[in-house]
Amino acid sequence: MRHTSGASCVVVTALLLIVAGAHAQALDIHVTTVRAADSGPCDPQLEAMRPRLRKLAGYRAYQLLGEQQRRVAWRNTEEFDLGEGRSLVLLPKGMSDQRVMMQVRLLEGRRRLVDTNVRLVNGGTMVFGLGRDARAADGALLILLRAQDNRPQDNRPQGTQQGDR
Amino acid sequence: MTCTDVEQLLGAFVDTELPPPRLLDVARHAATCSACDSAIRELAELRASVAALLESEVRQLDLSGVWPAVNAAIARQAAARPRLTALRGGGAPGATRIWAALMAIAATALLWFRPATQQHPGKPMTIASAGRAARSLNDAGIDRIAGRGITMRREPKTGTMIIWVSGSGGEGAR
Repeated sequence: MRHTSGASCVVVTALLLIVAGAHAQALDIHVTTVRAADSGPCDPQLEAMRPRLRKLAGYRAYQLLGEQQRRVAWRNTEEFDLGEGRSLVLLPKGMSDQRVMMQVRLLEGRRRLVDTNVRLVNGGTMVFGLGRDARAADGALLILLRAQDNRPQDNRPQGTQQGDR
Repeated sequence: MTCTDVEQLLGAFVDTELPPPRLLDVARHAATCSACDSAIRELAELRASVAALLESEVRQLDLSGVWPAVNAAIARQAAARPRLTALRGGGAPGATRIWAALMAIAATALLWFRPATQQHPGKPMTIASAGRAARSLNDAGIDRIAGRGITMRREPKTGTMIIWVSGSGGEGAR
């Protein structure tokens, strides 16, 4: 009985440590894809955002294509499928001065459309726009990327300034 | 006792201010001297008439309004006393105001010198940085960027950055 209860305690402790470790290394990533056009109906879910989107992207109508939210681990590459052969590949590197430092790559098949290192304010959103040149034809694709680390500052990994670049 | 002695003691005798032996001496002399007796009687009558005159004048004085006036004056002073006390800074209301002022100064000092540890540990938050924080809800910085046909734009109000990629852009290697 003693061995059994001792083993149970070890297993429970290990599980708790794993869960706590996973939580400690988590970063919430929210990727939203939106189709922007000059005319047409606007998605009711984006109605509240439409003035800001219009000011930012210049289009009048917006349709929500998809939303993905994941809790990703620091220093691990995570790929978000955007459809039509496109994907957003993220590598969260750390926190610095209340900003999430990460590498962002926007891919179209094997083509690398954008490869950048960004410092996004914690909880903030940045946007990638695709197909601006084809504006007259079928509008553009907007990719809204939001990153948030909800943990206390003491538990956040600190990004290195030189090595991450 | 002579008439000269009585003349010098006449006023004190009428006012009965002399010691009893001297009073008896003057009275015994006046009993035997008509001149001194007349002088004593005239002076006594004069004093009596003056006293009567004074008494009649006092009785003619109207003192009925004196006490109401005194009472009114006392009431006015009693009503004015708290205000004067407050103006002088004494008493409970003044003390309350002083404490309130001290507490306000202390609270202001705490606000001024409190480090903004919740926003940036170890860095005091200035008014300028607070303004920047309000404007930079989506602020993003670019350390490095690679690709073709890329243009960047930032919305001034929220700091939201948009990175545009033209349809024909891109690099081959993944």
